[in-house]
Amino acid sequence: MENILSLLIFIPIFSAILLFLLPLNVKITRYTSFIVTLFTTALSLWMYTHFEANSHMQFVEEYAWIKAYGISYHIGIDGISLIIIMMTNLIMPLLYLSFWHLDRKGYWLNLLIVHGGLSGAALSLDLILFYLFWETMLLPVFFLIGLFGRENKDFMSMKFTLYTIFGSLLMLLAILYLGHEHHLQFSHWSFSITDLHALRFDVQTTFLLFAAFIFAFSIKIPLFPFHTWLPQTYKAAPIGAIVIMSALMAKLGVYAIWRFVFTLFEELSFESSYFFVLLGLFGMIYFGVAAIKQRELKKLFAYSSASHLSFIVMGIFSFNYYAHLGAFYMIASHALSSAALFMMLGMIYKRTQSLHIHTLGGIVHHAPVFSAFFAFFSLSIVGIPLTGGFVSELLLIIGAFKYNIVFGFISATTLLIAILFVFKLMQKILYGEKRLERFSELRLYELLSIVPLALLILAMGIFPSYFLDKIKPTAKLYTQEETSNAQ
Amino acid sequence: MIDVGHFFILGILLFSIGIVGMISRRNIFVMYMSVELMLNAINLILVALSHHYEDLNAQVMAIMIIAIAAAEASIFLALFVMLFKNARSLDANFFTLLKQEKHHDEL
Amino acid sequence: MMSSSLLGWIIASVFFSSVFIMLINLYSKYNDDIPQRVYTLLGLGGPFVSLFLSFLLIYEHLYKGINFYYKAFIWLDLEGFRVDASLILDPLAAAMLSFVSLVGFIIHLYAHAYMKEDPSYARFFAWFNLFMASMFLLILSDNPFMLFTGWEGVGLCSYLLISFYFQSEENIEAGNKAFILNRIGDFGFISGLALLFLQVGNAGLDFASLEANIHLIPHSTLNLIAFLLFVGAMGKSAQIPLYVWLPDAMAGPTPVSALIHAATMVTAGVYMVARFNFIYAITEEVGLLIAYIGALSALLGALIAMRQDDIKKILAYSTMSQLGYMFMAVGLGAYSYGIFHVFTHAFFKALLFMGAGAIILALHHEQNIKNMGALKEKMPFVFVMMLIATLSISGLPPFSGFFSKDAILNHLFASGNYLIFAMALFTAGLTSYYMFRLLVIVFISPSSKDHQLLPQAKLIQFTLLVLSIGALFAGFINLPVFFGGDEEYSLWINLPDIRFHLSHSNELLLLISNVAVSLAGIYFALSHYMSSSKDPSLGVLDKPIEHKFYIDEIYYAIFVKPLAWLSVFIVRVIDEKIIDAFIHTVSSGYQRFSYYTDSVQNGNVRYYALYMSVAIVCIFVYLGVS
Repeated sequence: MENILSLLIFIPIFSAILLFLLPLNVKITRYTSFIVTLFTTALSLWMYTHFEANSHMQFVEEYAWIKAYGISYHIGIDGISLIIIMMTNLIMPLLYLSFWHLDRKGYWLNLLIVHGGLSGAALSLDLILFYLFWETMLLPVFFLIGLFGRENKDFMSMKFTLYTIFGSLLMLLAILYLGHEHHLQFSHWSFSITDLHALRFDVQTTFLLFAAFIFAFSIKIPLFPFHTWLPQTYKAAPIGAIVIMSALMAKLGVYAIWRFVFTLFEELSFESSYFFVLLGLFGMIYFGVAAIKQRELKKLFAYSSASHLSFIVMGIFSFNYYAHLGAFYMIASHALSSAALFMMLGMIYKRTQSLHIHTLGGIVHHAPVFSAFFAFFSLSIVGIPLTGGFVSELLLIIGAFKYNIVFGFISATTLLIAILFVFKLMQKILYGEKRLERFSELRLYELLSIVPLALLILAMGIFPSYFLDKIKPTAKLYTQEETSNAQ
Repeated sequence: MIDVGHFFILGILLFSIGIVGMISRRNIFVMYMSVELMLNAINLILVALSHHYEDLNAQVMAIMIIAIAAAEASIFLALFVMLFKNARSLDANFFTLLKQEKHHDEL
Repeated sequence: MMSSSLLGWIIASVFFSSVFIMLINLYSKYNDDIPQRVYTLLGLGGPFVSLFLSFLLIYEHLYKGINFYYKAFIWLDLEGFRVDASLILDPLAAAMLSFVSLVGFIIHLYAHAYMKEDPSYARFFAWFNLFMASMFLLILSDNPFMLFTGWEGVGLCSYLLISFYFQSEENIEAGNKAFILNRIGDFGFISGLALLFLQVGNAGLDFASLEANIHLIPHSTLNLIAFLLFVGAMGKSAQIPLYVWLPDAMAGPTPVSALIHAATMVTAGVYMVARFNFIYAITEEVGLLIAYIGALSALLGALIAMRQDDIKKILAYSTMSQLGYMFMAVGLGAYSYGIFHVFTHAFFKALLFMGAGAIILALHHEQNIKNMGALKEKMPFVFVMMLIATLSISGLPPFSGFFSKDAILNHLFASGNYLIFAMALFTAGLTSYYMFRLLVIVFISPSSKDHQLLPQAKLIQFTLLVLSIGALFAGFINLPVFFGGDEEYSLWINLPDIRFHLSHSNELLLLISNVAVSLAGIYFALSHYMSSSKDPSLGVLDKPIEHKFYIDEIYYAIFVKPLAWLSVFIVRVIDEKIIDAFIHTVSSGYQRFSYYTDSVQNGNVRYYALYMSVAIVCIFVYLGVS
């Protein structure tokens, strides 16, 4: 089963292509895509159990692809990619379940391609290959927003795509430059990060290359001030696209910083850590405060996502063991919580055709079970104990304190930021006066789609050591080296 | 004596007249006549050079150009007939379908 | 030899009964209703099992003098950061466990009678039991992180129970306020824990290891840690400046106020300071600060209580005030006296709340004392119970409140902090004044309204009776030497109290002054309110006291409004007008550029011919020149 990673990447993509070419109706498409994702989930679980807890790349596959320019098909998985792959494969089938009622064939096809693209981007160890999958991820989202979105969808799909591609373009230039440099210095082309790791540049070039990569990833995450596409895009996008963007693609930006920027530009990353930690903390507070007065639910949770992701970025630039573990754990727990919340937003939209706080209210009178789950997931975002969010916030706060006491205090304000908008939100839409005539209770398939997420969030909160064991060695990677380099 | 230089000057003059006619005249037939004029000017120069250097290759080129010009002429004239049938006008300024539309809304 | 896993079952039994109630309730939403008996069985069975196990273990602990230690599983095991899900039963934990499980169960019985007609009976008991589980976890934890888990858990349940009657927006806002202020405290608490961990955490995070290594921490850092941990206590135990949630919390059902906001959750802060005694014993400056905040909170609470008209709000401010006493004690090193006052306070305060609840029920949910009166004849049993509790809180011998309060006051005087002592003494007078004001207006002074009383459940009377025994006699377990006792309780808890030695005559003087001040307060209350329920004027202080010193309004203006403004500012101005506008100028600039240059493509062939000619000429010139 050494090719399991390739299977994980290409099964969804090939199924999508097949389903597109064959004239099948929506029902068959839906069932097939669901079975395909269940299959990849099973594969990923198998891989999880066989993943060893060490800091090396595992299940590595390396084949020469375009020999003349050293572009290889080089993929592998380690602790952090493991998290992304597991989250992707766990959330996708549940996402499909919660949208079982959809009847647009293109929706499912695009989701499959994004699935494959995400897996590919998270597993690539060759820069050109990574770029290929990075763009593969982007294009279906363009279609999803443009075809199936809500108000202002045409403009927002263009804006989102162009903005992201602009960043990726600069990154592509940097990638090509790196390959070229490798050719100059070592007289053969290569785009594998293991090879490029050996390159050395002068200060100015390093800075420009570093900036190009960071720019592309900051747009994706998003980091202040490259975030303005976020609230409007979320408002215009269909829920399925939002779940993927918030729960998975955003984390991929963080992952990419870890995989590429930290590997290729170690010293500069470490030296610039102060700036990024500050930026992360600033973003966390900025986006959290911005969410307080939002009246449109998708925008509110867009800002909430941005806030938590900035916190994660702070974590990885803190360069210590606890902060890195906290960042990894938060990638997982936030993915689960935000996926669940957006899926529930989708359920609200399906029933009421509106996601505006003013039109909702008193849901608890109609649908107590729904309200209970909604409240639970909202609290998991806040980070109460017994949820995964608490463990990750705890580790991140400790990591921040270790970096710098003042930053530690600022990071501890995360305890306050989320509750400010979550509790008001719950009050207005769950309790509050009854503004809806009808709001049907959760149906079986909807229940099935969110219960696994709830159980996983609880498990991550009550038994964190089980989950952390697999990723501990990877988290130590940049702490030992940094401390030994700095000294 | 009349030598190559004179033919060159004549050819250039004819060619310039052709270009100016191409750009400045509005009647598409006249524009086409200017194109033919340009081609003939080139033929003249080629033949003169061939005589001057005693090399037959230029004359071969001139004959090929004449043949191609003839084929061109048939296509052009057929197109002009179709254009006139549709637009009822022989004014070059009239045919601006490839114009860039000015729009002020978003992409 | 008893298995220490029973410790885990104390928590597990209430936790599982809560979970079962939730699941059964969830199931009943899709199917037919479940009879209330099922929920009662679970909801009362869980706490009863916990009570039984608690007393079993405490008995073993007392009898054999051993501590119980139970490790459930490893929660987090990173290098240098190891947190186990482990529990301990040592004297301090046993002291807390004894009354929490007992009073908790009694109040559960009371709640059954109180909430019997409520349609959300199941939900109530689910949260009530979950609260007990969190409180048990808090008390029995072996390390600060598990304690914090219980800490947050009780905060969450407090929110769920305060906003129990969610039909009214005010109740939910009260719940939000409680949770947010709690969290502000938690912000300090977590910061303190993080710093503590980073200093000595890798040598072990359970309390015993921390205690052993505490001397390794530099003094200034230790001061900071002690202060930050106390910030958590400020939020949880409603001390200045984070107390404003407590009066609003009275929006919850009365059993909630009795259990959570009187006897158990609010005392968690005191317990925490006692648990961390090894830190506070070293950081005397922070201890002094704690004592001052306790004194101010006690005074403020008592002042506001003097003019409140809602019976539950009076008791809420009274709780804040009494908590101040506990902090004065632990701040100045009298840990066991503080815990002792927690113990006695649990009984008489719960009794007061439960009595108030009985009155509220009987009078069709009337809560304003000015609308009550002359209930002595109509509700004699409740009157006697409330009288016992009021005498206890006023600190009159031989009631339990006297022993605990007197011990604290003596300690304050003997420690040399005369300002704190004076504030505490004055507050004692105010305490008896406002408590008797309540008693007299409700039961004795003539009534303005005529009430038709609803019959009272026997269960309610039974629970009140049980608690009154505690309010009467609990003091005797810690009889001071002066009265011929040995302070067995304090000895047993075995905390590093600072002991001052007072001469016999000093003790007698203090005793007399304490009782005298209390009696003075009673006298003033009786003389004013016996005949009429109108409040006498306090001159210029009238308006501020009535409006609770405008603290809520001040907080709103300083924190809430600016934050809301900032949120809108960020989105409308910074995001939309500045950053996004910049991006739009880039894209619209591009469009503008094309607008100006697209006149080149006018579709006219002649122009194209011109362009081509010019270009070709230029190329040839270039080729010719170079």
